[in-house]
Amino acid sequence: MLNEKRVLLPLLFIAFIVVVGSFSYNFYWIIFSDGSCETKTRFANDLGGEIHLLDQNNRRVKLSTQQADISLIYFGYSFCPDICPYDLERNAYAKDIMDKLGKKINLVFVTLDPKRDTSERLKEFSEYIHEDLISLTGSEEEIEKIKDLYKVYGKSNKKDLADNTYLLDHSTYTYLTDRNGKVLTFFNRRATPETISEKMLCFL
Amino acid sequence: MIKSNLKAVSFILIFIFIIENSIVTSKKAFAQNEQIKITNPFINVIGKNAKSAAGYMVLENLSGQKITLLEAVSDFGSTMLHTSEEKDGVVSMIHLDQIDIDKGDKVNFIPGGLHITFVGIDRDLGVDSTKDILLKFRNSEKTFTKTVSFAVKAK
Repeated sequence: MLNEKRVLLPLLFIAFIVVVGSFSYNFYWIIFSDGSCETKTRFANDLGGEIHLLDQNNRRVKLSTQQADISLIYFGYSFCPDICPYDLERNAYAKDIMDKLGKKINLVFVTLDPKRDTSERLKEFSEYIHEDLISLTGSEEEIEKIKDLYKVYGKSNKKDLADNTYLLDHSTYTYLTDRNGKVLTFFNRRATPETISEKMLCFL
Repeated sequence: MIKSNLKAVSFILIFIFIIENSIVTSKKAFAQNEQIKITNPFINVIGKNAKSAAGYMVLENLSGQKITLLEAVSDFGSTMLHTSEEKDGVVSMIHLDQIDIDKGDKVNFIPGGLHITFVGIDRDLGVDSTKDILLKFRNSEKTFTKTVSFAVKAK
């Protein structure tokens, strides 16, 4: 009886440590995710991929050959009246913070509306967002492929495709990727420029 | 003597007429327009020749009854009353037929929430200019309009 207790108590103690330890390890990133570099290896996934599209200067560009090692990518459309301008402005602030710190990132916008977002339109749009914004468009097939790679949603709210005043229901996540377009982490609409820039520093 | 008296009387009559008229006019203006206070109206446009934009403002109902915003009308494109709604990271524009403002209440049109959507814009709105928007309201007695000058901003 005494022997059993002697064995059982340490075993229970070990089990307790294992359970608590494992719980803390697995859920730490959920509880303390904002701004912590601890989470950087926790986002294991196969989201993302190379982006090879037409920029606002009518040149075909690749994400992998851009200046910086990491890219902050937003998917939206230039006809977006309410959401995209503010999300992109937030990302532009994050880019400004990084610039001040002397850290290079690519600020990228990919349209989900290639029908209306031509290079010319994106040029006018980009100038109002940030001078370093890389705005990308392509054929409908190319954009569909990118949407699939990044699991992005974007769909017209009108059934009549001839009506050119349609709006899109669309995802609003901003992705942080490496040079190959692999998604390192992502941000929702409520993330601040400071949170985003802090997180970007973890990957540089 | 009579002449000067006549002058004085007609002066007084004209004075009374002007005062009365201005009181009536201001009362009318208050009755029709000042029941609803509109502050910080602006339109956000992104890029030259943008074909769509969003309008924001704060509406405050100063009257003693509910006021309903029925419509916004512009001369440069179609308008809709919208609210943006986010679900699982996807944002949708929800069309609103009308927006009720209860007595004493304030309704904020803000980015990511209530806004006037402008689509099919037929001209460059020009940042730093202003654009008149006609707002149509209704209370329990009547419908009335108010023309509001919206500042055009970029971002």
